Amino acid sequence: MSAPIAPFRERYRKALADGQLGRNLLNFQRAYSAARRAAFEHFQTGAALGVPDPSFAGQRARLTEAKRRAIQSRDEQFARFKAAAEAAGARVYESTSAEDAVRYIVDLCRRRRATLFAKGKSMVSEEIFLNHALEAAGVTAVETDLGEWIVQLARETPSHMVMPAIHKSRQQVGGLFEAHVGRPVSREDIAEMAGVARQELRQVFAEAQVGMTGANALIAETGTVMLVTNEGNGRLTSSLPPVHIVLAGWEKLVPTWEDAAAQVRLLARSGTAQDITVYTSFITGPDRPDRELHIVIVDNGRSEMAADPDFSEALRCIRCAACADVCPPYQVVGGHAFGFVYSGAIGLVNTAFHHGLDAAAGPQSLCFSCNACATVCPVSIPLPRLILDVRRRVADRAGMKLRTRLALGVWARPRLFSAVLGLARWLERPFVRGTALRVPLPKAFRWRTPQALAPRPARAALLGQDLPADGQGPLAQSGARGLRIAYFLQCITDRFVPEQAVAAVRVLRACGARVVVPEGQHCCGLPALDAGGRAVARAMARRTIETLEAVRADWVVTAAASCAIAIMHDYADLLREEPGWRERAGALAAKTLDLVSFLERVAKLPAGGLARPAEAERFTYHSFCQSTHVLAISGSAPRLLREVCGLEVRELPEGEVCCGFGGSASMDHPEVARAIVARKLDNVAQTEATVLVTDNPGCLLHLRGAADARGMKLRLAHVAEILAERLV
Amino acid sequence: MARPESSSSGGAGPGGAPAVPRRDLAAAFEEQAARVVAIVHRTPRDGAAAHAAQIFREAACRTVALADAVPERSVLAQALGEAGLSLVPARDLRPTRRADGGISWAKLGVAETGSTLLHSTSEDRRVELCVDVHLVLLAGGALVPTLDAAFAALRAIGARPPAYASLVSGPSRSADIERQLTIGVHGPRALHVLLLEDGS
Repeated sequence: MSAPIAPFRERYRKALADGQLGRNLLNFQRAYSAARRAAFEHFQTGAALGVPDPSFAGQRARLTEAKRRAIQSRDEQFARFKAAAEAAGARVYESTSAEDAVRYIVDLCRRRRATLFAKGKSMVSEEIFLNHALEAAGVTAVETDLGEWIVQLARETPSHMVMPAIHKSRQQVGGLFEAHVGRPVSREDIAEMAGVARQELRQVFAEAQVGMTGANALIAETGTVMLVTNEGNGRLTSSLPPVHIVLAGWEKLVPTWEDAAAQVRLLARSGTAQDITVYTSFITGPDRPDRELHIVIVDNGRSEMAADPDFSEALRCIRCAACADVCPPYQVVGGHAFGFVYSGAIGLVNTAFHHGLDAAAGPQSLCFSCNACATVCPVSIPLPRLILDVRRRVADRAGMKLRTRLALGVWARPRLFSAVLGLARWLERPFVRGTALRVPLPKAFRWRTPQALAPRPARAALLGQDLPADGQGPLAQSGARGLRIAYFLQCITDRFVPEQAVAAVRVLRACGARVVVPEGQHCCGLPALDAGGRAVARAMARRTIETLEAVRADWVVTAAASCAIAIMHDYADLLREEPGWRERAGALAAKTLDLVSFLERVAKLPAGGLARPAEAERFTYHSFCQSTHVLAISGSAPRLLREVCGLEVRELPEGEVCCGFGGSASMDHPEVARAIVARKLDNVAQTEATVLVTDNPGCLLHLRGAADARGMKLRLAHVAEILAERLV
Repeated sequence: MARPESSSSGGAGPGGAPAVPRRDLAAAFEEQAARVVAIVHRTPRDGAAAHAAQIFREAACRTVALADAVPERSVLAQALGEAGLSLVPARDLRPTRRADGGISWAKLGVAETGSTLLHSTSEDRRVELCVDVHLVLLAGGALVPTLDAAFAALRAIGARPPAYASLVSGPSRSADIERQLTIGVHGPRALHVLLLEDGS
């Protein structure tokens, strides 16, 4: 079936050209994050009533387990559901394909001579392009959810799974309604607009011969359909027309009512930051003898997902869309580009299975791997890893871009890499001003001043060194005293900001540790992994493991948080099919830490150890995304700066939102990166800080370049530099 | 938080959770209902009919539909009639032929979410769907602390099909335009809960 959706490039360009879209979504994301936080805070008051573990983490563990069990026992749950629902008088149809589901529904409309079809919100109906088929069969399908109706009037598709028309402003909605009803409609008064929908759609509820809804859960033990809505349209479409069709993917099956309760506790809080939706309905069989209830079950790629140990995790999705609500690139381009039918992070994953790898290829390239989605997902789907897996499949099939292939080809060969950078350093020399490279750039890249290569890389001073502890000074009695540390330089630090490695090594030695910088170290493989080049990444990982193992250190530490996290969290997965290497990766991961974690957990620096009598500068802190979302240490560095250095660190609004670096993503999608970094720097400007401290060199260079290009007076510094400056 | 001198509601909660005294349960329900924009009125059981009539009068209603499942319908009907409200049969309601107000009977109230559990026939459901001001009568003794208790009741309802039951938590709402909260879309614009208290 050909999808009635424009090609990715067209959707992407349209989104970038839309001046309103980014503003609408920025307001939306800011409001959502605050409201979600408040909703989960309030949830805790349930403890007094006896709600078991009323916390996001507790309920998420419970729901994750319930959904995992349901997916594993799919056949059993389906059989139980079908038997119970049919005993209650419903008809359960297990469709064999998207086309088959469409055919069943169209045939049913024909048999009932239906001409008017009232639709409640159903993402599965979008997935199988039902409206087009109904239209072709002469059936008028009317969306009755306010957001879906707006999108239908605009002849668009939903840009968000929960709020389909969130990309539209009230002015745009007022205009659409006015054109539809043929009388003036306010462009400002949202209540009036809702009134128009209320008035117009009453006729549809009254006259439709068929009503259709989705399902939020299919409860196997009693054959019950659970349906969650706010507006009341779902209850009208499921109650009044003589035929009710429920359309759902089989992943909505849950074994028990307890499982459904667990879902209710997280769905609205995650989706709309409500404690519960207004109407949570439970339909078991048709409740009048003259009514028909048809439950149409859709597979459309779900079995293929279930058979894959990784992608089966994505089937737990309860369609709350929290992954879109916190996604920085989603905010810039919206769900039409950041997704296909399904949008947000989950859309980058399941599109590959419901609509094919080609449909997922463009959208998946927009992920900046910030991991914010993984933190808010109420069913613990490892979205960032699955998106990278889709990226690898796209790369395997279509091949990587020539530019990416060339870059990785050089990157993977240390001597060639050195030679190319040596040449680059020679070529750039006339344009270097301070640390900035003032060269003419293509228009799309002018928002970020490139950093010049350092005159002398860190390796020139440090590689192969075995440096004794610095026995004196305020930190010498730290918990790191007497330890032997292998220091990993990291390629960006090494070539662009060697002073960060020098500072980190100085701090570690001042903590009483011996620091060795193993010869032969190169890149950890992260750039290749991010680009979907897993084979190259594996080779680089093996080399890194060998090099770091050889020096027999107590700990491996680096000031490059991204690469520490790659070693700590990605290597084991990357090498999981290589026995021997998998275990070595695990052993290395167990003794690897980013600098900040090492200082907090191992060295345990003394309070006030590096405090100065007075500070002339104003500080704020941006936490590297994976430090925030993978390591959950966004509070650690500010704590170090406050407690050890005695600094006042100003709270950065939206401090946990990505800066827009995202490795190669900012090269592939400079327009998106530009918008994300503008959001970040606007927030920094609000703090009136003069120094922005961070913990990852890639982000630091990106932020420094963007601040320079907009003429912002802001010093960018790594945590290591701030600490080292304060060592006497 | 359990106080031995208070009358307790239904013993220990699920999983050995502490029983919540009924007085606290009503307060918790009221507080949570306010969060979902439901308006709770506490009233003695024998004053319920008059209180209901007053609510509809104050909301400028003229017609009211009464669900079949509501107990003591004749007392309510009389009070509504005396207040000048005309009764509309539930079966006559349509999305295009509505009553201003409607009265339903709740099986349960859930303190955790401020919801009422309505288990209704197809006809009674019209009272929930095709009115602007919806009033739910809830017996004080039917309050439960958590969704776990409500889902246990819902499971029992689902186990005797056919059945259509809903947790109703406030009036119909939408945030589909610019994430601005708008109350009253396709369902009722206002939800009142009359919490009936048994003397003491």
